[in-house]
Amino acid sequence: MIGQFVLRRLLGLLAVLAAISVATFVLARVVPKDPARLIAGPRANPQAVEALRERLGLNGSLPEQYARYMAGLLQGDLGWSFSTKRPVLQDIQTFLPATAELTLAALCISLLIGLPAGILSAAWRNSPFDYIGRLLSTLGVSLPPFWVALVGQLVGYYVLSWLPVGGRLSQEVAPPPTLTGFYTVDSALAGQWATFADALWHLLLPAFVLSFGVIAVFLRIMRASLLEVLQQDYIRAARAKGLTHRTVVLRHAVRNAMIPTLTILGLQIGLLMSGSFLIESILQWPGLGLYAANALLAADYNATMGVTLVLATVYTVANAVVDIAYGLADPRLKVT
Amino acid sequence: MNRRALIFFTACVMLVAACGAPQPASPALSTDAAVQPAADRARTLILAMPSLPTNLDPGVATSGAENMLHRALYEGLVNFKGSSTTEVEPVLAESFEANADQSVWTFKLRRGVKFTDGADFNAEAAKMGYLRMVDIGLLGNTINRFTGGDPVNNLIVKDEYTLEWRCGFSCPNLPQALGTAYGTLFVSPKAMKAHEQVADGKSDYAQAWFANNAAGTGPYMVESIKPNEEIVFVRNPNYWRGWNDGKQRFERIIIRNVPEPSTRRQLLEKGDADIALISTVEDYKALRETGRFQGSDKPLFRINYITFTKRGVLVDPRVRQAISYAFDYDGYANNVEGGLMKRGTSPWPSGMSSAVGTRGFQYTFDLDKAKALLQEAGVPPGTELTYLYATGYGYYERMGQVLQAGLEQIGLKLKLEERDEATFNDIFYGSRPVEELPDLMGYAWWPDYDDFYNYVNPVFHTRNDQNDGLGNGALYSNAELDALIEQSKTETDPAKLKAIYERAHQILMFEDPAGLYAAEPQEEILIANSVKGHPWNPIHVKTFDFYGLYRE
Repeated sequence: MIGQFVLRRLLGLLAVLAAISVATFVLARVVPKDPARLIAGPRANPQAVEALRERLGLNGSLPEQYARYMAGLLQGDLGWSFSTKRPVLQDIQTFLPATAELTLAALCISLLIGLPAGILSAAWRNSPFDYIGRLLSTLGVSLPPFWVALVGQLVGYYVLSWLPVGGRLSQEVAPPPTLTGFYTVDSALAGQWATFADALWHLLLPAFVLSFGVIAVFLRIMRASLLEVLQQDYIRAARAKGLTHRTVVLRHAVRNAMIPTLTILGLQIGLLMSGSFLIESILQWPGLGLYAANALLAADYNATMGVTLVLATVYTVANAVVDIAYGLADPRLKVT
Repeated sequence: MNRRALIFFTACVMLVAACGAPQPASPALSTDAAVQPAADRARTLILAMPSLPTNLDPGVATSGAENMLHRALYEGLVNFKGSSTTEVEPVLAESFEANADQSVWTFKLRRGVKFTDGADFNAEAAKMGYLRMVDIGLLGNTINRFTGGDPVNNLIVKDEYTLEWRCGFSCPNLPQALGTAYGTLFVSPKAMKAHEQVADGKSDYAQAWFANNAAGTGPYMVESIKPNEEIVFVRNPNYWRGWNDGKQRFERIIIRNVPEPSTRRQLLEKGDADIALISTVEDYKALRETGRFQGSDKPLFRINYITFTKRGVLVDPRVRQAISYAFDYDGYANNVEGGLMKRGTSPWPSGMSSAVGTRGFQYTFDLDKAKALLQEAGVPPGTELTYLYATGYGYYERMGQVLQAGLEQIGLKLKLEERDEATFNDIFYGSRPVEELPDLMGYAWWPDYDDFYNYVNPVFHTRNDQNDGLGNGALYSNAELDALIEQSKTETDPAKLKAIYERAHQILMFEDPAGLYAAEPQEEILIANSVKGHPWNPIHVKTFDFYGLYRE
């Protein structure tokens, strides 16, 4: 049963990715932009621009260009980036780990702060915990991330000199041996603790800023869900048995209240990754977001396509995994 | 539940790690020592720039930002001397002289100069470098012009260290033309041969290799490139000028990508950057007022202007004159741009030797005159015009807003339309007919060197298949002006040239205006006072003679 479900999800995933590739390809090419003109610069003569257009494969019909692109894609060739002058696949391999590390760090921060804060807020409703939690969630959803980033940098770097500006490591620190591409993980595995500390120091501000809005989402969902669960009959029964409030909350209520949180987890991963576009550009985090922002401005079709496909893959895979986990976590649901 | 969550996270980590696993480590950084000693900050020059171009090929890349990289890695025969825009000094040429009518120039080349890949610099290398640029076609216009379009036969290798240059006409300003950093810098022929790809009998001149690698004779070499993050240059140890003249020149140059303007300011203020592009007037003025940073107080060789597309009501020159009268030049330059621009007085920069200055016609901000001209031309009140400009450059938008306010007072509506740069360029440089172009467009132009023809031909000559008018996005055309431009190409008589400049000024400003010449901007760069040696040459926009910079 579960095998069929996973298979169906995988087939659906492939269909979604194919649709995304068509949509992105068409949208990128129907807008009135000529990358060859942009690359050639204002001093280039028309003949040189035309030769460049030919070299970049921009002269064929749209279906021809798409067929050529997909043929390359199936062989692992995402094309050549106009802006970095390197294969897109190589660029993605370079930049994805930085974004993934940032996203996962932000997700961890969101969960570590958002869930406990939501639990405290609901379990001790109308207490100071609740007031602080509600204030935090209001700030999280109302403050724009770019503002939090700018203020965070102003205070952390400019005023207090506690935090660095941009990059994943300090100038004098060499990257650890590549294993996962995550500098914190790789440096820890290599036992390079000074590098680990430096990587963590650089990660702190971007990850916190990126997690700021998501903390609020987890907090609000957790609070609302727990408040609802705490009204259930079985909770009343547990209380009637003489269990302490803490035991009732932590042992009996929280697990059930976690289910809606799990549901939105996959969505939040996608949102965090797309949110990293803005944060990476503002805080100079050299990841996929900064790469994509530059690619979009430079009309770098191949890079834009590559990033979109990667993001779509991560997003759909994460949601598929969550769907499967959801079914496993809640025995009331059947996977059909 | 906890176990499942752990499995989920592990799966996510494995997914992204699998995608990123084969990331190659930079050889320069993959040492065993995780934390290396910090480089001597005083001997490191750090630049914070809004973008990080990666095309290191001096025969291909055309932006100012890319040109900045080229000047660290490559050299040409000559360069402008200090802040002079007319006087050049030898670089890879040891000396140069012309024949009696200045139609043939002989360049004696410096001996013992080597490219960083070990190849010798000589006359063959120089000729090959020029031919490469002409054949690629992106930056070869200057060389083509001064060789009559036949560089193969008119660049003659007389001996290993002598290059003869035949213009085919009197060309007294050839040395100045070669002083620009656009299309005049040499790559190593050895590297080119080693990395070129030939398809259908045609070489790509190793463009792919030179995009991310360098082999020049310049003072610096590439140490590492982290795309979107930073480029690091280190000294070329064999640089022909040497490093032991007692000045504390820089051992390393780090160019950081800092897109956020406020961050560039913070880095500069905290001393974590020595040079930064400060793009907002407020930040620029605040930093200058601290007294800790140096900037330029004179305008660049550059005009920010608004093009007129001659269609609809704009066919009538009186309407274009009216629009030019409705722009508050002084208010824009002094208030809107905070005094960091000089009001426009001419279609080409006022610092150029061809400038007509006060001898020529000047506009004032005169709404009554503008209204009268509109009435005379019979333009109905409420007529709407469109103004297109590229995003990312605040001054184009501000120019449009100032004009919009002025036009509103004379009964015209101006619709501002913003497009990203790629889209704008496609419209401006594309092949749309006049009818499909916007009425007005924000644009800026600067010459490669101090030369009327070099400035005017690309932007005001009728666009044709002879590569004239490449930057004439509004498809402006005036037969008399075309003739004047052509005449200026080979004219050497100062009196005749002066007459050409004055007539061209009159046509472009008043009789048949091609644009509204709003302002001449200053350099947006600020440099820490401890860094010396930058001559603030108005031709070298946003670029540096890195060898000349030192710490004091």
